[in-house]
Amino acid sequence: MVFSSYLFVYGFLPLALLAYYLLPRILRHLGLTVLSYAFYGWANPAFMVVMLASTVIDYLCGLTIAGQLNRTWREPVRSLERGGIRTRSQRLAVTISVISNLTLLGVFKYFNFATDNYNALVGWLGMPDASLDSVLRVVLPLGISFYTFQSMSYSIDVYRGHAVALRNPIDFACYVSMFPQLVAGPIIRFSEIQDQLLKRTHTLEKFARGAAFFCLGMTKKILLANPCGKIADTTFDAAAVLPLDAWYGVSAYSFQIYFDFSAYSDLAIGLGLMLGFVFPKNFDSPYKSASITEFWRRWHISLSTWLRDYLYKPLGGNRRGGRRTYVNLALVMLLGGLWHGAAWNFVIWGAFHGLLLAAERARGKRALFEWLPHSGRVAATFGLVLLSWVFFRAEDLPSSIAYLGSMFGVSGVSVAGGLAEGLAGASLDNGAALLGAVIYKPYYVLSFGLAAVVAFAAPQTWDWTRRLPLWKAALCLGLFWLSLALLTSQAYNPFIYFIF
Amino acid sequence: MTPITEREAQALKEAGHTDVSRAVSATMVTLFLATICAVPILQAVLSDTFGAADVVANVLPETARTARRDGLLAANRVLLGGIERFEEVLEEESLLRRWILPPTQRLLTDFLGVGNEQAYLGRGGWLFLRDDFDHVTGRGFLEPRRLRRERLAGSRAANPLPAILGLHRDLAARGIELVVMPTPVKPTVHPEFLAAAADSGLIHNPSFGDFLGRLEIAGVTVFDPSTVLAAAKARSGEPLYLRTDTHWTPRAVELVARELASILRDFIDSSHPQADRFVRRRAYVSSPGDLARMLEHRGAEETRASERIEVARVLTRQGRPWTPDRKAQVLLLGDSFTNIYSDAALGWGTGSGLAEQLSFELGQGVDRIAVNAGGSWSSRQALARGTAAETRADRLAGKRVVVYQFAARELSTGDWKVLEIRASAKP
Repeated sequence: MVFSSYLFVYGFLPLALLAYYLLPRILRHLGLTVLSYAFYGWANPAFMVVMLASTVIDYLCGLTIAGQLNRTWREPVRSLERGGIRTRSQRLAVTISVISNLTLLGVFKYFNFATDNYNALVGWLGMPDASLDSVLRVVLPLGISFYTFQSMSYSIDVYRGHAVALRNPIDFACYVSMFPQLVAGPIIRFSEIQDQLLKRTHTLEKFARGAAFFCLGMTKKILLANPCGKIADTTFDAAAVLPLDAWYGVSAYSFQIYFDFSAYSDLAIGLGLMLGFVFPKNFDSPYKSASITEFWRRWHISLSTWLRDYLYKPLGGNRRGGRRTYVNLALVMLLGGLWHGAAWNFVIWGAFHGLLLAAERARGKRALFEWLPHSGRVAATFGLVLLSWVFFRAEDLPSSIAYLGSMFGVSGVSVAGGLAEGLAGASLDNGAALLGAVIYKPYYVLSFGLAAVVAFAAPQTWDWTRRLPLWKAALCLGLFWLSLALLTSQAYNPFIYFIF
Repeated sequence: MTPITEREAQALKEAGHTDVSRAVSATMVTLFLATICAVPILQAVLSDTFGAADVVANVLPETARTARRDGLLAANRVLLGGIERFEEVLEEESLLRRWILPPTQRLLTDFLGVGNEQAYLGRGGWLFLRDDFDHVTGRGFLEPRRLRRERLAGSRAANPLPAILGLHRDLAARGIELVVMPTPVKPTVHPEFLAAAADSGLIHNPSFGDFLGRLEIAGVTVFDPSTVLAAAKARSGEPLYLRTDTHWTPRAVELVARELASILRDFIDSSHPQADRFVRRRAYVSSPGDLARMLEHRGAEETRASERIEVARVLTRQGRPWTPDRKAQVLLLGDSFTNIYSDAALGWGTGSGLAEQLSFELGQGVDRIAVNAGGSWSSRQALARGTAAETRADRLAGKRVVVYQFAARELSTGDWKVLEIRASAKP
């Protein structure tokens, strides 16, 4: 189920809020869990089994780590001593948790990638008969990358003594499955929310702030991300693109992915606030960054801090000398790229960012173009990020390279590759000329311009809604109504991060 | 309680405390809840259709039955199909959508210059089908990487060549010639009405030339009407496609029928043509095009106005309407490009379609199987059924040539499953 859908806005959401507030406090987590499973199962009922399996394993591992598996319900659960010695069973439990989550992720997310690469390899070695093309294709369960990371963080936090294990399985199932952020984050670490799971407040002020977040999230998705997505889709799906259109297309994609993803985060945070939860910030105006290091402090913060705390630091972080630090940075970004999607494109995207981060680290975290004025550094950073988005958006590696070629006017304008076909030449040029008929319509140009203004000049949602005078509340609602009106004219338009 | 994390503390500080008055909070929450609750309440009170409830009532027992019969995975598929249908029906029956969409679409079309997911706005009130645009500007439909992706996705057979070559083989086994006629879509012939920057030449999908070449190498006769239409356009400059419809004009149909007839004469017995078997009678029809209807709004005058066009109705010499002739030597397999001006459901009258004009040009009857939007699959399936062993009257009996017409966009979007045509007629 998509937040920006008729069914969610006018069906699921009113029902969920009604059920949540009508239920007695003691049953609210159970109600929220049932609603969350229904929300998740709507995409594919079979996916619920995968999430349930992950939940059960991590719940039991958590209790084992905390030494509570055979204790009675009444005995208080205590946090483990930080840095203390752990028993064999505790080490085993955390290992089982991590391996089971990584196995789930590996099988569902990387099985197809592995078979595709194997097939390419045997093809290259001249052994096409050994190909596994007929082997089954695995369907990726929605949001698996997010909830496995969340679930894993629970076991690790309990093991490290950063969090107290949950005795109540309903509370834990509620944490893993919570529908506002289940499918596309933010990745909520257990330690960031455990207190709220036990006790939180529900106030009119919180609900109003949540409604404001929700209205603005919907506005970002419908008014900015989707039209920019249309421009990007038209250029990236075309056989040929003129250089200017190619730049316009990838710029539109950079706005699409930012507003799409930050819209989801705003919607999730807004829904969380309506239910009494306060989720951490996930975006902080990333395109205003003056260096790649700063960009990663502002973009998808919940992932970058997760990778920092659960991967970069355990690898040694920056404590083992310069060279090792650069290797760690590159490795974390490489794996971060692979986390986004099982394709070489994402590996290259991650490697590109990893290299840039390592290069900036070598300069004392200063931008590579330090000599430029601040606005120049922001523009240069955006330019580098823009180039990396080509790999993120293009269908595959050859398409990425061809698209970059189109941007720089290299080797004709072919995006398709292999176009030594009869009448292709003249027809392709004309096909490229046709794109302008769609992507430069006033609606798309207006949305693109607005997106640029909001991305570079507007305050982010957290700051803007901190004070909510009447005019801001009215503006939020007005934008919400406009978004809902435009929603009727848009087809099914899922969030980009649904596929990750 | 454990110490709260830095991020949680920051979040609690930033989002947990909002500077908002109680009156504004109350107003905001009330209006927000009213917005999301009013729609389902009004729908329940005012609507007299309950399709979504019917879907639920049907799907749940069906899922349970399937689970018992075929197992949980099969039941999951049924349930998933039901969920999709439920959402579709919910949106179709939505009163909000019915009230809000027309003015919203009007705003988008008249002031912001865009169509919708199905129809694109061109220049001077011309409308284009999105799938046609995507086909013409998109990647080559024979590109190996694309074909492989489609094969792995498993949703459709994307490569048209095996299906067409299979049809050619099956027909050849029965001594019947196949003439393949990929019909150009509107942006191919009239790119100038879409973008000023495009010249007025033909624009094909990048794989189109390769596709024609491979058919010719395999010995398949191909008739590409785009060359005829391009020549006619260059001669007269008159539009050969309708402004607000996906399809070609009656004039284009006549031109193509004449050229097609000249090709078919090589394959059929035309020793006794009856030049006066059919007559043409000019008439006028007017209708809003299918693309204008797809825009679902009462938009700008130039896009909503009906087009009035002259058609040439084909009648028998006795003045009776033309009908398909099962005994004809020619069978025309087609889609809506065959049916336009022939199938009343398309809104442009009857008796003037491609089969009718072909009959007129040949001076003899023509048999026809035409399925709207079914060029890649449904028309071939209908032919396969018409020649199946259990069928009494073999649809190919007495045929010398089969013309296989389909919209060129089907090469990019169609399902090209290979179908078998029965080898010989029932004894």
